[in-house]
Amino acid sequence: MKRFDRWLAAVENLSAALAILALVFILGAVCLEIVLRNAFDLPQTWVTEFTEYALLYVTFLGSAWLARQQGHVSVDLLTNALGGRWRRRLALASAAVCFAVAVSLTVFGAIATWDAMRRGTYKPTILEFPTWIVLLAIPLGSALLCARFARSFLGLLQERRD
Amino acid sequence: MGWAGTLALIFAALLALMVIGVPIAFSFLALNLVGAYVFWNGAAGLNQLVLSIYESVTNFALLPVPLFVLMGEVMFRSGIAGKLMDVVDSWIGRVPGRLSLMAVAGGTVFATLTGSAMAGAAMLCSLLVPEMQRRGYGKSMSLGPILGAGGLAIMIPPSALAVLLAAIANFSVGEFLVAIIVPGLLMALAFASYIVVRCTLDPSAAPRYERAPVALARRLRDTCLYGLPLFVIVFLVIGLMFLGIATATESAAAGALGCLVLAWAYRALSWKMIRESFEATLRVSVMMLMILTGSTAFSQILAFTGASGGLVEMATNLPVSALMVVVAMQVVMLVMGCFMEPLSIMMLTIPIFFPIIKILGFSPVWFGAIMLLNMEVATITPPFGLVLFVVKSVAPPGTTLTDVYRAAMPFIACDVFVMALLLLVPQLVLWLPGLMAK
Repeated sequence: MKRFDRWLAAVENLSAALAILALVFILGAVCLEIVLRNAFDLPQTWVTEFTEYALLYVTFLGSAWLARQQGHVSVDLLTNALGGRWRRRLALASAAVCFAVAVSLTVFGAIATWDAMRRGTYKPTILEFPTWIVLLAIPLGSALLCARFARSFLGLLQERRD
Repeated sequence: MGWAGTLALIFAALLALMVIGVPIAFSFLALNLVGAYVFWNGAAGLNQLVLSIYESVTNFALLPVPLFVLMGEVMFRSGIAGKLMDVVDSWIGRVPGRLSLMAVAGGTVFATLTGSAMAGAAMLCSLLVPEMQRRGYGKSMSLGPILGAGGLAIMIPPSALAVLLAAIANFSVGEFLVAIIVPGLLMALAFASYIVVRCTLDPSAAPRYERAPVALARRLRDTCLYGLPLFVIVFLVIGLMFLGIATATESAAAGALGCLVLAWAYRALSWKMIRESFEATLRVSVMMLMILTGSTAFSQILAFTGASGGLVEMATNLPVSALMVVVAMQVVMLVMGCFMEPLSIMMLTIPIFFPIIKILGFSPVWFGAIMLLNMEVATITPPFGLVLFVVKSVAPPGTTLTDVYRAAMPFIACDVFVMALLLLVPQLVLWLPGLMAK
């Protein structure tokens, strides 16, 4: 388990680092666009489209990393008011729901991505950028979320046995 | 089952998930998964759901969110907040409730740099509360103004929450960011008036004190050094947008870059600081955007069940004036705000309320501005406002949650007063965006 934890954390950190790169890209690309358009009269049509795509990558690549830090905001009024045993039961239920969501998003995300690739779908703009490359963020990030939520579910189970 | 039953079932399921502790983002996604399966023809519906996530997030209107968050993070980590507070301090003379007024002025200044009520309140608390205690201020005049002023962050651009509201409700982000400026300043004015009146009537709440005046030359120097660059940033964010030179996203990027440059000029920029700022930005952005992944599908499902249409019909056929319907919607959100945080309230109410607003012929920008103020109130309404807990955690030892609740009350009343004013005089919201270069 310890080894699995180390690996999972390493992959999550790598994924979060890529998400930060996507953030840097958004900042840089938009600033570049302002300068090129206003100073050199060179409007950059790709900036809008690619920065939008980057948002999806930021969201899904950062999600498992954030889940590890319990950073996805939740309502804790009931769980905080409850005693140890029920609190753990609810935490198990919550981890199970999150896991189920992550599995569904991984599976159907992968299907939707594959579908878009097979059909060669693209956004109807000048770039004709293939949709599947953007959609890929969803199954990738969700797969990592599966691992993270499975890990917290197992962790809670083990806690009960101890 | 009619649409009302379906709607009740959807809301009950969603609340049940949230209450057992499922993160808000995953509660919406879980509901959407079930909804898409049931209403959109099984597995095909789930494929459609994935595409709706893609549509929800790859939205140009959302781009200012991470950029605004980054701005605030860089500003707070660069230590410029403390310097700005000194500048504010040097210009405020011998007035009743001086430190409380400083909280309001400081909150307004911070609000032009950050969109996070929590960060603003925490910063004000750590900068001002020790001094307030030393000067014998009562809790109502030390914690209260900070609770109120922290919320200004939401109402004065840059405001991530404002961007999210406009993006979910699908109207112009730029126009909305300009529209909330006057309401935000009105709030600050309401807080300041309350403080002055209260401290004049009851001087023991905030004892007056003597302090050594700061030389004018020094004041001017500090203002140029720390105040002026701030104006440049404010211009980058609001001015460029107002003049029609840049879009909301471009202004946000210029503002974020401006903050980085400023931090560098103050020699506060280090690799560690940059890394921490970006990590914190990622944390907040992912948290918000992940909740947003459910927005499109959720409103589509509500529409599909007939709930949206049914509610619109019901609201327009009510035997009361249209304005009363608006008031009722605001009251509903005010009550929700006692128990929920702003983003989930927005996710739940926007797909239902905005179609009604459009049918009733009101401006969505106007309604959105009042709603945003309402969301600001939600962060300080007992029992579960998030900023209340932030302030409690940084307040001096011995402060109870009841103290914090009691301190918040007059400032909640000020906010509600401004909300009423905006409801009665829509021009307060619509005047400034009307002047924008299109």
